[in-house]
Amino acid sequence: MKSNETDKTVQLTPDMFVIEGCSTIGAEEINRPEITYWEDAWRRLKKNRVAFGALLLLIFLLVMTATGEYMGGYSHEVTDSAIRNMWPDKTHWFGTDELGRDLFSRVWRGGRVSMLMGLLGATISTFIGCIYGGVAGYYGGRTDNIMMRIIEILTTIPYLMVVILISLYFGKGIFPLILAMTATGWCGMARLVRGQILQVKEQEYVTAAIALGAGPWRIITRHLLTNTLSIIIVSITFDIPRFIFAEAFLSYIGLGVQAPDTSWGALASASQQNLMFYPYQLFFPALMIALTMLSFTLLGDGLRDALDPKLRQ
Amino acid sequence: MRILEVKNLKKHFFPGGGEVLKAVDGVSFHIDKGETLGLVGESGCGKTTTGRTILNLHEITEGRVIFDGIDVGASRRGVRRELKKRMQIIFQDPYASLNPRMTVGDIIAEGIDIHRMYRGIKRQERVRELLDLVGLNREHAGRFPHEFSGGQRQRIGIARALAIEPEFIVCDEPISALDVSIQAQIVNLLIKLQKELGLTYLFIAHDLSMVRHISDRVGVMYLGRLVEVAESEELYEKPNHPYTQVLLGSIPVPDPKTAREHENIEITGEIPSSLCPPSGCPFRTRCRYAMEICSVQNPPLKEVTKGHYSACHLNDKK
Amino acid sequence: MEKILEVRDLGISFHTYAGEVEAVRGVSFYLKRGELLAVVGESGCGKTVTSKSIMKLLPDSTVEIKKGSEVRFEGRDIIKLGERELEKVRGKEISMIFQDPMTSLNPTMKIGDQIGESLMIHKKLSRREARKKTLEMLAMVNIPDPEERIDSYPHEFSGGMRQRVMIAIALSCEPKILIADEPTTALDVTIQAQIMKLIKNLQKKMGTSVILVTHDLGVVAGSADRVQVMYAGKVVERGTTDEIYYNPKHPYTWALLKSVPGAGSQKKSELYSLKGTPPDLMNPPKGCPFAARCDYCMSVCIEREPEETVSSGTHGVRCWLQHPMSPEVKNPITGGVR
Repeated sequence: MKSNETDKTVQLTPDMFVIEGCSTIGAEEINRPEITYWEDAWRRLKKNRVAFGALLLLIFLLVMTATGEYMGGYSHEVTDSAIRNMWPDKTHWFGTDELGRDLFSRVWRGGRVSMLMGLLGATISTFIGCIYGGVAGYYGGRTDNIMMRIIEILTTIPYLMVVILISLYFGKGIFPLILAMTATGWCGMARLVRGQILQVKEQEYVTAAIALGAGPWRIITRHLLTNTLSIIIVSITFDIPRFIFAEAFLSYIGLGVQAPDTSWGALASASQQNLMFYPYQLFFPALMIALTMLSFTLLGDGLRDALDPKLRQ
Repeated sequence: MRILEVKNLKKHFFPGGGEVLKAVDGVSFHIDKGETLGLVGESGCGKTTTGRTILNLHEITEGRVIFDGIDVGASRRGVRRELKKRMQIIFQDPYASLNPRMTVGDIIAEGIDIHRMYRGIKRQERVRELLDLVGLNREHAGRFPHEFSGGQRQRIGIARALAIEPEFIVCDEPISALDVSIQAQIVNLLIKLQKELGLTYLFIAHDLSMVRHISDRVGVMYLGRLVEVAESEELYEKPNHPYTQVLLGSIPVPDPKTAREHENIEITGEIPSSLCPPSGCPFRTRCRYAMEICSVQNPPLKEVTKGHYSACHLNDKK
Repeated sequence: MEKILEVRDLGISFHTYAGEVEAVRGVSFYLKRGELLAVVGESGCGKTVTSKSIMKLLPDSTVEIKKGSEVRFEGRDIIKLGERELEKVRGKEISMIFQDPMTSLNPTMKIGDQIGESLMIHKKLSRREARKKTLEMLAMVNIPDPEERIDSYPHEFSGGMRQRVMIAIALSCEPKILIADEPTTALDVTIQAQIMKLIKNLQKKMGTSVILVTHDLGVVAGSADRVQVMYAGKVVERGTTDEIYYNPKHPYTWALLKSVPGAGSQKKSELYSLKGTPPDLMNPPKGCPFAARCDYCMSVCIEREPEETVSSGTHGVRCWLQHPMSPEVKNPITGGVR
């Protein structure tokens, strides 16, 4: 029972029955504490155990990719033919590869590359996608039509063809890798942003801004993009694992990172021949790819729920 | 002194497939300075579109809008931008008309920022003044819209419109989304502001009793046309057009005895679509007095008694 | 006339991140067979939550129905029923229509099927029989050309027509109680008049008891037998329609009646308006919930909640002004005293 339940034992005295009228002090008060959209979103995210766990796992993985290489005490590139293809043990926690290199440090060093490539790819795609989608959504009509048809054409070109063409022209390495990933990777974000902007454009507060005399720049930055931000953030979170996987795939087929540099995809590729005898060489990089992708995806799910204004309580 | 003149205004939409939506189809009226013209009608009558077209939020298809002698449609961009400082709008939905990501202070000051009217301390002061003017707490400038109630948000919208010191305000159903007791608060505020600041209003609404209270003259729209205009008391006491009669008869009266005895004029049928309005008089499909001429010729708005205009062939007989 | 529905001490709270919101706080009322009870109040007063709780339509996760709440339909306590038994009651014994017909109808189902669905589930009719009955229902709610419209989709109808379809669905199984939650708020005034007339006619014809939830005092005056006024989760006044309109006793009721501009009021004069806003139900005041906005507030009003004073058997008021120790007050509506 609530503590302000009426106390029936209080005596009623005549002086309590004098009309005083209402007091208007505090009539316009707001009782709830100030809480911004982001604070509320963070709070909701924290409550979502799965998403929060994923976030912690992700932070752990990021820290490891930054520092894991130095933990084992072994270099990632020093070869030692005496300890080739050794199973994981107390000294080499992930075992060693064909050339006797310590896999623990290689996995984490490779992880750094994979993460960076994933983040870089996602960032570039987001940037291009936002601008492209923003322009298409804002102007609408024929401009929008043409721009969307271009995207449709781009997405129908088979991915492998794009990759092969790029590798033919630019060879192998980091640059063609990024190019291959982002050549068509921005299309999804562009579609998403365009759709969202088309919707936000119809909101009455945009009409109000137009009525006040706001120009396109102000409308796009202050009104359209700010209200699209949450969608963009969630989308980036889902894009990163896609790019990490794309990098893994491209490195696997030899397009990306070249020896002695490595990435998770490259490690997976190198372990192919020894798969029957030394499966651990594939196991660890694959596990890291899987964990990273999983945690980004779970985090993305949680972020989407946390940032959705309709789910505000 | 006429501050606004609308002459044969038409606004047509083209949803595609060769169809034409005649949202506003030849509307003419004027508003004097300091006056409130009420505009009533049901869904699809075009009253909201009329209000927004006057402000150039929709492009004029045909006809003219003349504000203080300036032809709005024919003006250059620069002139139109200046006009925005003199003609403003208040919206219906207090939840959708405020940007949820902006603070209340920024929302109110948006017009000030766009037209660079004040900066820094002066801007802050002006925002505080406006909050006072509409009866809100000065301290709330840093809060966000979702922290306020519907009535308070509507006041924020009013403060935003007033920030750039307009002379004419289109009130687009400003109280429809509010509770009855809050409606009275907002209407009182609008009346007070009109007196203090000398404002002119176009008050668009479907709540006929509130419109009667706040308006000097009232216009009734049906399917894109103005069917009757008169001083508000005159309109409510002696409605001339059959549609106005039906509309007024449909208002539920908060008085049980009257409600029991008085048989409301029953109206049959639905409002036709604006995509294919009936030929001739738009109301003829639901009018109990429909005659042959009604399907042939659209009756023009004619003066019936002084200041009282109606568009109905029944008046031709007299 | 017997009571078909009895609600006793209904208490409903929502558990939100910021705390517990007490939406309904000890509401009791009854509904007699064949009558129309109007529940009037503004947003946040708890009227919709109350009406939804009669059929237990509230989301389980955040809602708590307080112990001691009773909703007795023909003697059985609905709150205690399990989901399976509730399904037998919903649609068949108690039906509901909502405010927005656009979102309450399934856009991908023909309206004939939506009406028929209810019939086939509850009355176990065959498809052919259900179709026949559906046509009857469509004619009863005055939808023109029922033979053709039965295969149409909701988006092909106007707002008023959709609301009629909703009424047809709700009444198809001849329920004993119809709960209408703001059925005409979203409609134009001429269509509103049509729909209210339809509801009243069907009510008489089928003998259905109706609970009408609304904020429109005009609609209530024309259709209700009894009225109850809710504020901040409580019923503050109840009575027959005549009693409420011609002899209201609660200051909130006075305020509501005064807020509507009457025919005689002077143009552009200041309308009576309540100051402030309803109380925060996360921390409901311990006294009368209306105290902060009441012109007649006394210190007892802030300290303690008023009990209900019943006069004439049907007219009840929760207000300290009714207490013998309080001063005589001029009733602003009747002009008389108290």
